[in-house]
Amino acid sequence: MNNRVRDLRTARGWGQTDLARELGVSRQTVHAIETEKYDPSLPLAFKIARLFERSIEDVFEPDAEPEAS
Amino acid sequence: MFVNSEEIMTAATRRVVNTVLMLSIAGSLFSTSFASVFLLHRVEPGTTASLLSALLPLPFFIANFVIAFRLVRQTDEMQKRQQLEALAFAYPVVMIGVITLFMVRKAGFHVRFDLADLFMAMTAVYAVGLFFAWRRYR
Repeated sequence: MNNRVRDLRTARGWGQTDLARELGVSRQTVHAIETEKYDPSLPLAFKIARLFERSIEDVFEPDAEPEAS
Repeated sequence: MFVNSEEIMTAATRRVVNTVLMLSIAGSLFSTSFASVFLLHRVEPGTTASLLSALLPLPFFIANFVIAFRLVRQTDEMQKRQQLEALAFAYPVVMIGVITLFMVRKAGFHVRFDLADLFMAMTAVYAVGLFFAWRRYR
């Protein structure tokens, strides 16, 4: 899953630690989400979207589905 | 906008306190385990003294379990996944190792392995699993 968490965070001038504190997770988790190594759970994804005042689709985008043969 | 600093300090302080507690209890656990083995070699088997010596590390085992459980509960969802992956790695690896050793023993070869070794093997392989899980999401 692709996401715009890093863009939204830096646009607000927040560090990863600030975002982690706000979300109640570790800085490593924020880093893993931003580098797309970890997909957050639905509640955490909603929390992120709500924090940035965006819809969840604005923040997270699923990978392109493989074409049906 | 951000949560107040008191809440952050409380959560962070709690984690540090639990980690320090866990380390000191682990130290006490090792010390009392050695003391227990030392005493068991010196007291008569089947007596109250030998039973008390054998049970000496038990409170520390329980305290260690409680603190470890509290620490895991304080982790976030990704850290919980890492813990799960570490366990999912450690359990089958240790089982395969133990079953293989058992079969080798059945084949007539002497392999020294007891319950204390199982505990150490599980801890070591779990640490390796935790390292792999940590690296995966780094």
